Amino acid sequence: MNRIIILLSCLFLSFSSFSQDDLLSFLDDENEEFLTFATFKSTKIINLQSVEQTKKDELNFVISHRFGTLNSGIVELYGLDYGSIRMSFDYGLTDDITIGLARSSSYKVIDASMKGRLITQGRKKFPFTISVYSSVFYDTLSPRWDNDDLLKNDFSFVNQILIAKKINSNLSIQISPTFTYYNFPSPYPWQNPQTGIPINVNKRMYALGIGGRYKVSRSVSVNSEWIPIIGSNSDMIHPFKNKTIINSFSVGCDIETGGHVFQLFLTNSETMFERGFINENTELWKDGGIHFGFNISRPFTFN
Amino acid sequence: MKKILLISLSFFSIFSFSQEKFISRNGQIQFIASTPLEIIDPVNNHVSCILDTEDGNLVFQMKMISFKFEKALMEEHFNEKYVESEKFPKSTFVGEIQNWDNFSWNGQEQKIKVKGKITIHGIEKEIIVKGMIGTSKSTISLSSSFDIIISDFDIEIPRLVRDKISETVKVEVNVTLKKKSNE
Repeated sequence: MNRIIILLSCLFLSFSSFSQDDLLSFLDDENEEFLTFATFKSTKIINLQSVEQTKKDELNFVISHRFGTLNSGIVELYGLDYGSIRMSFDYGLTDDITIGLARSSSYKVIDASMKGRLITQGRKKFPFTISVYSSVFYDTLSPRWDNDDLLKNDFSFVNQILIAKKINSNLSIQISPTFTYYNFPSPYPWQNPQTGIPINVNKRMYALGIGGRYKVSRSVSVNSEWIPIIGSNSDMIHPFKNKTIINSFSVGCDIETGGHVFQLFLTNSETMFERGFINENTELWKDGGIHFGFNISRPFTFN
Repeated sequence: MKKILLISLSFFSIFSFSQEKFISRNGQIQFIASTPLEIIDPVNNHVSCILDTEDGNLVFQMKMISFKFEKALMEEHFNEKYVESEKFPKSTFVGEIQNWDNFSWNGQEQKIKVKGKITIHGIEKEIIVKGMIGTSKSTISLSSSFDIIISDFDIEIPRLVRDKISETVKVEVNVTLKKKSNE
């Protein structure tokens, strides 16, 4: 009997205290999802594509520069006399699908790309954001096939899966398994058409991009990425022991102002399109073959 | 037997409760922080609200990330840098309509005063706002317009964009509540 009285009184107590804060709990939804946003500040980590998309009906104009190498000495003002440029236009068809067109002055390459987000971190408690990125490159210079000047020989392709995780509001990481395919006919390796430097690539190249960012303040983050080549045709390549292919490494920072994101960094990759900066590096960090570079992005909204 | 009595009692109490609650999950809240330099007027169309007609208790809740801005970048900055939607995903208001006992259900739009605690960016503040209430057969509509000051809620606007964002923000609330069904 006593127990019943206690229970009853508990019930009534809960009844009477069933007030404002309990009303609040009425509104809670168990299946509520909190989708992760702003995993990175920009659509690029440095060179690598990030999982960030250009938003729907937005045109993102990115202008990028890479100066010469720091080891070129005072005569060249440590590389600042030389610059290569890339202009890219990305348009958001939806919040999850971006198409892009870009042109790089190094190698005189035009590329068209598409980036699609498959799943966002937080959807049904999924721990990662996963996107796919594909791009096709057209080498307008195409001097290396003197005897066989077919148009199809000037194309190459890169396909990437972008898997990112925002660990907390400051730290995000991403890995990007990458497959590059060259339509170029043999012989491989071939030469950089502008500098004549031999490039040790094969028809099929595999790489694993690894990148991340750490926010040091509300508007500034430190970014870094490393893109080891792990396969060439059917051969596995050790990312540390190989002597023939140079992996890309970059470190820099993102600075955000009202409408722009400035990315300033140091990298050993001179080219700014995926195929180039992943597979065709010719400079080493330890020799001072480091380029200062920047990307500036500016979105324009069409509603 | 006693148990059955208890359980049925408790069910009854819940049952009788839910009949007096009016709820909405798609209320609208807009805030206006526009300046001559920038139009800032995002709308949140997924505001939850519940009113207990027994005692006039009124609660609002919304996800900050549901505010839709005209410019996507502005929306991202709002969530990432200003209201920190990851740390403080929801804003709430918990309060009551004053003089509820004297409220007459005559179908006319009537002026009300609501007093309670508003929580934005993790900061709680006591406020009193004026609004209107309208009733029909099955719905209750609430509307209000009031001002809040950004710095009251520990939201810091960087110097670079300070001229573009109004320090005083006008908040406009519109909800239509339906009787909560007994599920």
